[in-house]
Amino acid sequence: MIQKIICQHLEKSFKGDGTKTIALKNVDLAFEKGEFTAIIGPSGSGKSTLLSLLGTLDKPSEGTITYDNEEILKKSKSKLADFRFQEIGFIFQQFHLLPTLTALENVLTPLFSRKVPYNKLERAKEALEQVGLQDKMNSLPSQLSGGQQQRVAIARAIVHKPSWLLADEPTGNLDTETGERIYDLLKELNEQEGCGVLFVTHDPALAAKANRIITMKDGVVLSDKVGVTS
Amino acid sequence: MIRFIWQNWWRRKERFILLIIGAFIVSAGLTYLIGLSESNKGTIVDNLQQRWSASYDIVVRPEGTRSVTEERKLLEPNYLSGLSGGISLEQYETIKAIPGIEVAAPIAMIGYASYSVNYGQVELTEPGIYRRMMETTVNNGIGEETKINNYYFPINVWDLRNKGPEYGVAAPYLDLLVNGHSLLAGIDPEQEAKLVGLDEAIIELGTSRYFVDTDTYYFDEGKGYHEIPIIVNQTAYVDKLEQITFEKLDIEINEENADAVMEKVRENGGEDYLDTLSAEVIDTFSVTGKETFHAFINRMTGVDWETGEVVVLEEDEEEESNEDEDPLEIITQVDEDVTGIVFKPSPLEYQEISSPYADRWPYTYQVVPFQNSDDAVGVYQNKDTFREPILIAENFLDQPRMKPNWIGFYEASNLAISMDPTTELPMETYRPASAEYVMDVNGNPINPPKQLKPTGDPYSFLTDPPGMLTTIEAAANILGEKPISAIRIKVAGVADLSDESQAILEQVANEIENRTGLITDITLGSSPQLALSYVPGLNGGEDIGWLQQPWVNIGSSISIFKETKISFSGVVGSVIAVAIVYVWASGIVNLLARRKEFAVLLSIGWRPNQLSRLLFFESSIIGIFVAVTSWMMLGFVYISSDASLSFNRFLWTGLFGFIVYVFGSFIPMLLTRNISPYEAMRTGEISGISKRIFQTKGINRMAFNHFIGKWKRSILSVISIALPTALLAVFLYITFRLRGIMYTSLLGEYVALEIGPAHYVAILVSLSIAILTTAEIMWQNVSERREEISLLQAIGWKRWSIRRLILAEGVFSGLFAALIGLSLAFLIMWGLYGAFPTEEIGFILATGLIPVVIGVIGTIFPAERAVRIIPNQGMGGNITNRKAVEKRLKWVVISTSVLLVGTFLMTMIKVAPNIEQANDGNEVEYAFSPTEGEASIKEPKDTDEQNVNADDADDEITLIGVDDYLFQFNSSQTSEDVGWGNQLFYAAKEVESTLVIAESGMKGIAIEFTFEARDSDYDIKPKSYFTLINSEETYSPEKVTILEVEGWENEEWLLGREDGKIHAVLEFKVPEGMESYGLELKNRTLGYGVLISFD
Repeated sequence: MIQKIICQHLEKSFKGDGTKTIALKNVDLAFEKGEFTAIIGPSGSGKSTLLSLLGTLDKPSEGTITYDNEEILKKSKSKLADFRFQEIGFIFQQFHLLPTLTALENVLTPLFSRKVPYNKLERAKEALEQVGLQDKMNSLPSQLSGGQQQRVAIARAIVHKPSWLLADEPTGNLDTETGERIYDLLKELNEQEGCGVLFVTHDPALAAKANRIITMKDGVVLSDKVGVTS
Repeated sequence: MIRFIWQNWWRRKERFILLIIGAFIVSAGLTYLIGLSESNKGTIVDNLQQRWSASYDIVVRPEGTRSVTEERKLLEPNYLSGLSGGISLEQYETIKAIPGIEVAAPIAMIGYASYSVNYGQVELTEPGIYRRMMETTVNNGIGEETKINNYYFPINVWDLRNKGPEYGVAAPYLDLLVNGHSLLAGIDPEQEAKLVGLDEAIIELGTSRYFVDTDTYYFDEGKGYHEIPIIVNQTAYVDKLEQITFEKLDIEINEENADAVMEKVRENGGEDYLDTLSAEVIDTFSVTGKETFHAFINRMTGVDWETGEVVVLEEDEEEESNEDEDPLEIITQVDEDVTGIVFKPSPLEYQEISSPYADRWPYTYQVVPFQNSDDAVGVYQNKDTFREPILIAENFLDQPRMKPNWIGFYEASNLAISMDPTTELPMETYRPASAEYVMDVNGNPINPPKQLKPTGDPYSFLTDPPGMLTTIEAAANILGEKPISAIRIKVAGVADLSDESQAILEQVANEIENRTGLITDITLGSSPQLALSYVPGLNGGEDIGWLQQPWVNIGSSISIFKETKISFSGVVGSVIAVAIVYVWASGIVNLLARRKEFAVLLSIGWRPNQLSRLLFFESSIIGIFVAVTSWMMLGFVYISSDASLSFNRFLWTGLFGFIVYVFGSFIPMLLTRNISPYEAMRTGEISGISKRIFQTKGINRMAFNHFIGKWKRSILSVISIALPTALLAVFLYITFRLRGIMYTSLLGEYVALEIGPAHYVAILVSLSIAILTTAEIMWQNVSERREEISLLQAIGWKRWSIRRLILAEGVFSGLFAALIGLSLAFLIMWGLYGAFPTEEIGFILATGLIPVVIGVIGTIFPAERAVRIIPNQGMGGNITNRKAVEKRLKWVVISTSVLLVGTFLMTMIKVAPNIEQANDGNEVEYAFSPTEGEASIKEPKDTDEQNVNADDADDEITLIGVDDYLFQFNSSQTSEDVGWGNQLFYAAKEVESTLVIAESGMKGIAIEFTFEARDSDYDIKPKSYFTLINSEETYSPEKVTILEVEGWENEEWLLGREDGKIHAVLEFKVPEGMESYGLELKNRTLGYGVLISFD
């Protein structure tokens, strides 16, 4: 269980065809388990980049990220994958469900060829129940609505009981009402499971409900405020 | 995991069907090409050996006996019958002692021995001058040749004593004596038995038996003849009829005026004068060659030919009494069994000429007749012969006389040599030579071709096989020091047509040459080869024409065999390579398609090696499917046909498909290492570098820029389309090349027929795999752009524009693939053979169309799907698990599979037993060069009275070679005047033109023609088959008026059986000044066409 994530002098740039795009500049942040953090900012402000770095999907150009004082990113790809499996759950804006698998199967995917102390199928059903989709277990993603798809994605993200949930604009593709429901679900998970939730959003209204609100612009953290406390 | 994979396949049905079809084609193709073809390996070898094996592996001949034809590795049939001595007994013994030689069978062509049968005498008592007319009619297959030999003698009227030959008469000759000729050869009985099983071919008749050790040669000093043991071929006779007629000349002669009359005869020219006199037939007798020969056998064996009963012979007594009766009568045959040998065998002389039909007969020769001078022996004095007559001894008295002691009869067809007329190799000593008369002097085909038969003349065109055999010992005693003409060698350990056999034979052959200085030729692996010979007429007679004979193409089967082997390996190799490229390409495409999915899996905690394992599992499953399918097919074929199959072969065929698929997963597995989980966060495909060659201004450029923009993807798809294209082109080239080589000899034709089906299957397999590869990639490319397409629709693009956008990209991929593929193909061809195809280049270039066509076809369906996308459904996809759809698709998949397997098995069972092929083999250059040279037709001998004919013949023959006309004549003649009257009637004349010509400088010409089909059908379409030609231009008829027509089927075919006839007027428009021109008729039935010239 990772309790604390600390970013130091984090910088990320993309090189290409003679140009250099700086996505993240000198970011110093610390995250505690159990926090419900919203990252807000306009397009291209580096929110998603930050999230992917925190989620070990990518490596920073400069700076370090320590997870309970350990620099996981220096480890091998397989170790990183193991780390993600144990600690991180990802939720994407485009849901990224495997189109060929049913809801239940999609939820099961992280557990494939992993040894876990619990019954995988039971756990997957449980996760689906948690997101309120027990009646849609055998539906294919194409047969589900956007909100339902995102809930399957959330079930997939929590099926392996991660200590952190990273959500990249989870409500961005959804209407406000559904977005709120998803938000509530995340909040609920944060409270019930005690996992740290980091979510990127465009929507100031949603962001305002978080414990902590980080505002970014042009790769720089503009503000890091405490939001609603519960 | 398996479930995961399965769902992934099952719910993407189109791709899954493609995958299954691909797997089926790969497994079926591989099974067929490597499994079956290899499993029957050796059968083709056996076949070749059984069908075209000579009884000997090497032939040893004396120096200087190679004929001009051997420059092209060709031996004329029965070349052995034209050789006379040259190898000594010591050399023979030396060869026999060479290790590794199993059989060394010498043959000594001694010469043409005659046998004769006396059917008694005629009684002539009335005084007068008599003519004994011997009329010999020989049927040589083409026609009958009659030779008349007159002999004049007086009976009881004139005293012959002290009279010279100038009186034209000689001693009375009353015998009904008939002669036959047969080639006598010496053999080593023991070796001959080993080589061809001569001892087994002896027929049971009286005391007939094979040679034993006690059958020795003996020289009778007292009577001065050689006593030799002989066995006789029981069919050693020619198709001839001998007729002996005794006539009394109408000449007033009695004892009183005899001297005066005879003096007058002498003054008038002796025999020549007597020939002119009419006569009264007194007695005739006729007998066929066969009867003569049977009578000879009866006398020899002492039993009747037909009944097997003992025949009582009383001839000896009769002869003695005859001698007593008339001391004047010439001594015909003191002892009928004593015979002489006058002529030695000699070879034909050939000269290379260009073939009139090089496609059919690449090798063509002309026989050069021998012109005998005054010095030649009597019968041939100042005459032409096909072979040079060589006397066995200059002086008549030195000519060997021999008494053949008959031992037995043999039947050549019982020898252990291939006698099947369709497969015989015309190099056996015992087989009669055959020749087919296929074209007359004018190049008109003879239909059906006539079979030329030997005439029994020692120096005729066709030689006989030996009809009588004696021992080598006897031959040595008759011929002297170097009796043996050739030694046929069989080498131990040479069982099959292979490089090893060839090596052993070469070694033995070298050994023979080194030890004896004789020349050797390896005959193993020779093929029959149809060659054409132009045979001129002799002694001013008409030329015979073109004869087709099966010759021997030395060593050609080995080259064909090797070429077949490399080519077939090449073919199998290219198909396998196409299959591997397909598997790899589809693997990579699959990875590209699922890249994002994989990134997501990585980001939710999958290890990279889990992805690799996933890919590996997927490939393995298909691999196992392919292997099992192959095994099932092989098993089925094995059960249902008699194909034998080794376990290893069986195992490997299946494993091979498995390995191809498993290896196919390696590249994508490596590529997964490059997938970053971060990609899950991004949208769209990111290319760091974006190239723009043209500014996007329209659909085509947009497609092009898309194509270039996603250059990595495009390169991959172009390469995976290009590779199969390249291989297909190479494959086609190999096939053409192989055919080119195959159809130059009979063996090749046979082999080509045998491997034909395998080639077609290979073409089909690689073509369908190439199509699949292309389709798969195009499909993928398009389905990935669904979002883009729905966007374009959303911003108001028309459907047709979208269609065009996608099709254009397909065309671009196809074009690039064609370009790269063909360049690659030419490189491979250059590498393989060091030559570029020239003749087939068009066809090979056409393979470049395949990727373009496929590119378009492959995009049609995706494009159609694309235009049906509802804008806001871009991502929806067609992934379903609805029950009804599932069920329907299940049926589709099952029935497709059943259909595929079923069709495949059907073809397999049908062709499997015919397919055989061997593996390995190294590169050989099979140089094929047809004969060249001009046919110098008609030798100068012809004088005045024949000139006209000869000239005509000359003209027409030279026409064959050049691209001219079948025949031609001028407007005052008809086809009858040029010898075509039997086949057709054709004539034309100019008439008044009715054409109204408006243009100045032009005029009309009208030609009225009549064409009648007399022997067969001719196709006549006046409008298209007739043209008017002058030196520069050709003109088609402006107008056709049919005056009269009969038996003209479909306005095209003039039917021979209905006396098809057309009488019409053709009108042409030609320039004013044209005065002389020709009317050309060219159609499908008249070969080079017919020209009527108008002056």
